Amino acid sequence: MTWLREHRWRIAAAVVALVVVLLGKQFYRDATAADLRWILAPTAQLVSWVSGGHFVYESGAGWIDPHIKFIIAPPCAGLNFALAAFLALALGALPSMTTARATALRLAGAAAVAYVATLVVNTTRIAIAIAMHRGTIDIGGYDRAELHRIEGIVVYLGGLCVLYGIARSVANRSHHVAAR
Amino acid sequence: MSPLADRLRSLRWMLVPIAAYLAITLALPIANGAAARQDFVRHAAWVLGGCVAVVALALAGVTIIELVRTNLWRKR
Repeated sequence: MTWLREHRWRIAAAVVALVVVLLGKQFYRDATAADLRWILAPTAQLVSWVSGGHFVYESGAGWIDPHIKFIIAPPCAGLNFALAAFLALALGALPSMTTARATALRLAGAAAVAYVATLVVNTTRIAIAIAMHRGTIDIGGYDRAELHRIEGIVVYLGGLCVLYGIARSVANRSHHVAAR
Repeated sequence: MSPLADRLRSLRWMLVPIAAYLAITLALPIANGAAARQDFVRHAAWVLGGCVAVVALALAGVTIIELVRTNLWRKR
């Protein structure tokens, strides 16, 4: 009973994080480009800046650059990365979730950081994919689809570890500052 | 404890992001019946291989940093 009382905010936060992940996965399964505009539009804009392309919205398909023949479609939204980042950040912040206010702040912070990180990491992933598509990065005779898949796994997983590492060191630093 | 075990201990924090990634990319799709699909098995193999590669890279990074620090300390 005492244990439950002591950890009630952590348990609540873990449940909220899991529910968000489950609902997010459910939403992503049937989401259209229009449904994902909140994440695809800024991604397409950032990719346009980074790659020098010009992506425009085409209803039903996503963001297309007809010159380089590349499409940023709903599966490219990076929502799986966003959900994984939110889950990792929320779980990592559990020890400091001791009050309702701290829990709400950390969950909101995790969501905001996960969103921004998704834009950055996904832009990187798509920019590399465009470079491979254009031939700027030589992929030799390898299967393009397979390389695109491997590139996604490496960039997303690497990005997730880097993001978590940064969040962890920032949290440790602020903890040390607060302890002084 | 062996140096390798020490280095692995220092990378324990990576369990959280890797577990979150595996939960989203493998556990939830398996729970939704994706395991029966032929392409999912291939995807899962790449994801697991990616996890091993990322941990190996981090381990190599930690080892290099440790070696550089040790050599710098000896020179001083």
